[in-house]
Amino acid sequence: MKARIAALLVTTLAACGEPVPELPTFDHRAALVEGLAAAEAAVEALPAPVGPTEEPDPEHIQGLVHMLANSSGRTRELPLEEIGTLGDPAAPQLAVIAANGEHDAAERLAACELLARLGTPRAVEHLLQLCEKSPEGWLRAQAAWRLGEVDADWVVPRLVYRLKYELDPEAAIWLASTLGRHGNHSGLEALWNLRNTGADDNLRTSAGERLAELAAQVGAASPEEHWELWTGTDPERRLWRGSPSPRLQLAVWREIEQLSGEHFQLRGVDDARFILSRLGSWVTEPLAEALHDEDVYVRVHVAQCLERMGPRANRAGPTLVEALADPTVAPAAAAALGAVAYPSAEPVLRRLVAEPSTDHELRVACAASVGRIGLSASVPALEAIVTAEGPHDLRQACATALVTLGVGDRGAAFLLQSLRPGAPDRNGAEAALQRWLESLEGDVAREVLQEWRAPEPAPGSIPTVAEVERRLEFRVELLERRRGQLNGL
Amino acid sequence: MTALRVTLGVILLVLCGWVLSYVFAPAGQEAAPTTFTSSAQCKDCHQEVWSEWESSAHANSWINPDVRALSNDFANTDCIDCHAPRPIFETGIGKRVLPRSSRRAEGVDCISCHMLPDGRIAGTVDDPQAACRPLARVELTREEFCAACHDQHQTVQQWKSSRYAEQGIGCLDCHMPYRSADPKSGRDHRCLGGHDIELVRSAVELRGVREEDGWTIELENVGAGHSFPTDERSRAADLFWRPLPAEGATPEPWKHFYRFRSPYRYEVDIEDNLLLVHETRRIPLEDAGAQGAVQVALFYKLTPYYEDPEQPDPEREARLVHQLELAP
Repeated sequence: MKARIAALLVTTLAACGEPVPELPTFDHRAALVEGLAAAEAAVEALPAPVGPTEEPDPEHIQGLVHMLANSSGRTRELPLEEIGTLGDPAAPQLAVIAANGEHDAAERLAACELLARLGTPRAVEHLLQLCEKSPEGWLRAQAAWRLGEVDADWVVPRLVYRLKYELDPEAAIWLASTLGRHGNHSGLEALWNLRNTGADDNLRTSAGERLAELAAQVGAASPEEHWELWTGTDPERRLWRGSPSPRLQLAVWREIEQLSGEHFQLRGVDDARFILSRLGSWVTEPLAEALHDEDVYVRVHVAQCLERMGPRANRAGPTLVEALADPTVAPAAAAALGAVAYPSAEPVLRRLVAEPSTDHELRVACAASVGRIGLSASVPALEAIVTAEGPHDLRQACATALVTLGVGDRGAAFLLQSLRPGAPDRNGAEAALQRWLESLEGDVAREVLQEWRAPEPAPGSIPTVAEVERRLEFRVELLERRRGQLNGL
Repeated sequence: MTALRVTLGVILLVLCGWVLSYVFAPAGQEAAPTTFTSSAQCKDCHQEVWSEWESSAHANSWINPDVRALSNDFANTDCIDCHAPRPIFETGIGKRVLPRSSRRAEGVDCISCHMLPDGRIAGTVDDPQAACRPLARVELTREEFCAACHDQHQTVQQWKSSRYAEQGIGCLDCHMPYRSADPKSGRDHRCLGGHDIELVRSAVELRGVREEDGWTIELENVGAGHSFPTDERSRAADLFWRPLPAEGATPEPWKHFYRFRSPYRYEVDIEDNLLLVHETRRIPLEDAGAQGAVQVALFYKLTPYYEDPEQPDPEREARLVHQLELAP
């Protein structure tokens, strides 16, 4: 009965409060088709490589490779200069030498260097393929390094993808370094990991040196500051790259095309989401445009990409707010608004979550997002929903958001209720309660947290269903026993 | 007194009106639309289905400890698309799924499969008077329906190349059979698959053949309408052997000698060697110590990795499918 009265109160309060503003309609257009066509036209308009068009004598190419591999000092410059006179037609032969496992390793490395010196789109494509497909890690590392010497920012999406799957640590270091040279900082995470946990001193030192180089390159005082710029909103746009080349813009639209409903397999979607969310803040603009696409798959996945970009996608905030008017993408847009650090969205998200007539899925997404945005203005609306009768997942999302907002005590009792057998999302309640306990200060809270953590599984082991059940039971019992000693329970 | 009579009269009239409107309401009046925010709303009317589903891998697709570990508690958000999908009828039969934001802990639930875009429920009969206003939709039985998630790893494609497809034996015949083999009883919503060891056992036959240079083990896909294990990269099946222990003696630890698995995308050095539908694979047991009497066992694993890959403990970490004792 109490719950019913509370629900009535929430409804009445919502009705008395500021009404949900009429959101303007969110238009759909052929954003993908048009973006792709414009990018293709821009690439087609690029001038073709100038220089010779005749295929060079293979012996000549072999001679240059041999000379480069076996010389030092100024004599190395001779083959490097000469390859320029042979031009783009030399690229395929150099690629064959570089890929041939029967060739001398030094000559294969030299062929990579000559490809980089050529620097034509075809030569760069061969280097990319060596980086992507060579069975030898050292050759992939070399190709990655040489790709940092070419003026071809369009390699970035493919290097981001390659780094995702690269197992050779040396190759990973050079992939990350080359990405940095092309103005992409998504390799920082791999470098940090290798600096901290690399298998030997050489790897750790090399990763640390690359981190320092990249920080200096962007004018950051330290790798830590560089990391903060990459993961934050970068208000002064210190990591903002100049205008991306037409080829890079085309590569971006082709990744967006991978999100479309025309493709059945999620594998390509997963990779495209991964790449697009790591290209840097400049990609916000084409993504915001693609958010209007006619294809619902493109719209939803673009919103997910913006969410995964986090504060880097801050400038998509206004478009995401507009997208709340589109029921097909609104929940994903709401989730993205919570991630991109756009506080101006808080009032509309708060009103949507408080309004009982809002679509349930959207209400849940809005609840989580107002928590992430982190404004105390959200607290009363969330608290009212937690204490009223309503869908359990909405109430739990609100209680979890209260934890994120630093006032977890206002939802802790409901989270404890959600940890009990029979509740629908005990794992979610457990995670939220743990974050709440970690946020508390004082000796009692520390004791409880220590006890709470006792049944955690050993790192690397997967608990059985029975073990999870015992852990949850133990944690319910612990909080019941400590009821009254912690505010909120 | 008059006022009391008037009041009682009004109450009586209202009651009569209500009774008359109830009794003479037109037959076939449609039930009021229900807003579904949780599959728990289905429980009261569909207790048997609910109980079956509640114990199923579908119901546990968000909360299963293996899934949570492999997805890093869904920090790998790519997993959400299939583990908490929007209603299939909303995204479209034969189309890929989209992830949802609400009731994720309910996993692949009633709403995921049965909710229609207009808020009604897809079922086997039209019944506008029932609370959920079901409409008969034959798409529920089609392979394309399951494909939205299960063909992401090519399982439906594998089935399409099988004799079962030619014979019209589809996903539901094995994974959602009629209860008690009676169509009137409805289909079993436990949706048994790799989590049911008896079904796994019925999928393959394990045999040993003595040849000149030792034992050759044969595994035949006799019952799965797709590869074994199907292309769930998290699944694996392993062959182990050990010397046949003397009666009463403690057996030696199992020794691994073959694995059936499709690798994750980053596992570039692992061969994709699932046992194809109808295939018989012959695997020589090449260990020098395996010339005499041996035990051979096939174990099935719901997660791909052993805690200690050098010394796996299949009896603890996997499930026994078949075991042979072979003597020269």
